[in-house]
Amino acid sequence: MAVESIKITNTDTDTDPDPDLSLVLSYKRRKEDDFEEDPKEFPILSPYRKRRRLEEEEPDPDDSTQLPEFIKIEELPDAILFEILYRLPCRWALQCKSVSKRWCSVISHPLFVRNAMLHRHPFSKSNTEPFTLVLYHDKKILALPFDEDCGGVGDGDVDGDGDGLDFLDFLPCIEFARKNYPFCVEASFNDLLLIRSVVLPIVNSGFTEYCICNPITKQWIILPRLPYEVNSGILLVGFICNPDSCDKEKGCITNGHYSYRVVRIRSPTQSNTTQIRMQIFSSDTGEWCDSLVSSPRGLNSFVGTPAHAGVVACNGLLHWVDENDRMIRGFVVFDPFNSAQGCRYIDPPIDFSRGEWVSFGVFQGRLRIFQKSSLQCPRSFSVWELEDYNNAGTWCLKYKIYSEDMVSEYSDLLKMAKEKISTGSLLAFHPNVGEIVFLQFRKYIVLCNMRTRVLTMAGRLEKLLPGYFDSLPAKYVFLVGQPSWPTPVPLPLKFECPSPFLFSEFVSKRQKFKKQQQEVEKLRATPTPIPLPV
Amino acid sequence: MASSSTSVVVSNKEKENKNTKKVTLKSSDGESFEVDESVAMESQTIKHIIEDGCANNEIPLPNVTSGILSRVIEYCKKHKEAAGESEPSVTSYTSNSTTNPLTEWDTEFVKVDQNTLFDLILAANYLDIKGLLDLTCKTVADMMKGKTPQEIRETFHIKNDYTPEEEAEVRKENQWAFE
Repeated sequence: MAVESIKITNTDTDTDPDPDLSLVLSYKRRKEDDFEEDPKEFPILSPYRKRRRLEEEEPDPDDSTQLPEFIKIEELPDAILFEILYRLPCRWALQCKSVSKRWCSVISHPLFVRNAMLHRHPFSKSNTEPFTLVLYHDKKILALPFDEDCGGVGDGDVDGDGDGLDFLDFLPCIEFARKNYPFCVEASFNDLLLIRSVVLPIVNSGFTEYCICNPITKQWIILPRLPYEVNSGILLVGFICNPDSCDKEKGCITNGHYSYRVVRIRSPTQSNTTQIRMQIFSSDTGEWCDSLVSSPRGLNSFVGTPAHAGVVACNGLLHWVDENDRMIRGFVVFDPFNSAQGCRYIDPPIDFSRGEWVSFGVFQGRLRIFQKSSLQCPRSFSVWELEDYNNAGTWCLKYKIYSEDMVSEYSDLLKMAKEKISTGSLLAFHPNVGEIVFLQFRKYIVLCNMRTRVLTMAGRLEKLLPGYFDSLPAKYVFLVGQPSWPTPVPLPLKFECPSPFLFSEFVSKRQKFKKQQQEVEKLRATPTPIPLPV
Repeated sequence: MASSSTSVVVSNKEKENKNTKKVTLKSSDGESFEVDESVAMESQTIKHIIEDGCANNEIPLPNVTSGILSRVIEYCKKHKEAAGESEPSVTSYTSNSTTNPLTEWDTEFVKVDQNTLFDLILAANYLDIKGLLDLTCKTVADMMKGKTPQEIRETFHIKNDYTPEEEAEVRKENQWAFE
């Protein structure tokens, strides 16, 4: 690697190649001869490092090539350390917080997470992030991880215990809830899950409790309790987060903090009501509040498709279906962050069959609806994408797939696709690849490529749905992403504490939780004394 | 050599060998390096100096020693050439090894000792050469990946200023990352 630039001074460097390089080359030779090392390790010639190295290493023959100043990483300015550290994957960056206090403060800088995420995906949203398909049914969970190559895990093994809930073991309430209380996974957003448990009014007045948790970081927070209601009617629950700038000076999104909303939407009791009752939890206030939200069009009860399709969060908005007399009338759009007093309404696509089930999903920030045409022949399904919220909604038909066009190396699947009994209902849209959709074919989870019409097997549902032949409602299928930086769980603000049930205490500081844990242990550990035999 | 002008250089496929404008860069230890202006302009800092019309004589770079400066020039030259050979599009600075043919050269380029590496980072920062900063910082980050905090301290001679309790606290906050 001769240096080609012309040096005007008299120093003759043509015959003498760069001194540092010659040492690098000779060191490399030595390296191969003498000892095995991590191949990624760069030859380090500094004296400190040599001293710590193994004795076999020969001393550096030409010490005069050492640079006069010995720059340590600690002497680099913080801005440079910042540049280096945000290029680390999240896990390593967080481990580096414990290297020294200076490193911790650099990593905790408000812009750190944002830079780290931008660095990993500079041009667009990622389209290779791994994710997990979490399917919930009757207190059981099936989790199917998909890695970056979109490879599934085959059977998606439900664990030996049978309910697949081990990955939620870090939640304090889960042990108790598993055995005693009705609880369910209500919603998911990014890599967060919203879990609801209902304590029946047996010992006390009962309550409903929501918990937001991140299964990867094992963080969790329990929201303030709501009183138990005997007749709550059909409730739709939406969960949504917005990255929020806590740093007003920077005036930009830092991705370090999020603002969260949990919205409980009550079914209208009559048809054509223009006001809808909701309970909204906001992480900004730390409280639930009741509100009456107005709608530009009359809304109807949630019986039927709305309950089946659930609430979908997309673009900072919540969406659900409005139906009347078994005919889908449209979709309700609600912004819990900016305009929580009123919601909007969008019409369904023109070529949409209003009498049939519809399922929702999101693909990279765009709302998608999926409809199977079971009534018509030839059987098919269609996918529309919402392009514009204005003008009561502009939709675009993205795919229409006929069963007879599907191909697969699994003849069973093809047989099922042509069955009269409706199969092939939507489970989820693939988060990274627009043309792939997950369908349920009886007991199978099937991956369908809508461009090539190829069906492949992605998993099995027997353990989750042992005797259940109906379709799993799409609202119980959660796409739990694994973003390059995990979404933090909201910080507690003014949550209240005490309750007779220790397992679901609110925590504001780790010490409090620790104390409680100790108390629980004490209670568990002191058994009733058994009278000793005389 | 690509022909150049005093304005922003557009890489093209023609390689003319005449009238190439040169600038002289002077290192902190008094060595002067004459380079093509187009190569020097890989550095945004130098580019601004030239565009502001202050580059009649040598451009002094008091923060960069000759050893480092010669390497930086090597880097700029190589990347400028590569940009000239490929389509006239922006040279991608994201090190995507499947698409960037320079990756192998870059990998060899950063096989230097810790001191030189940090010097290169400082120089890339001072001279505002995005690609070099990206490459060198990523190299250091890669040295850290896979190491425990204690190993990192040893590799980079960092003093641990945490008390054991404080360190345990920090670890606990991000327990999942250690598992």
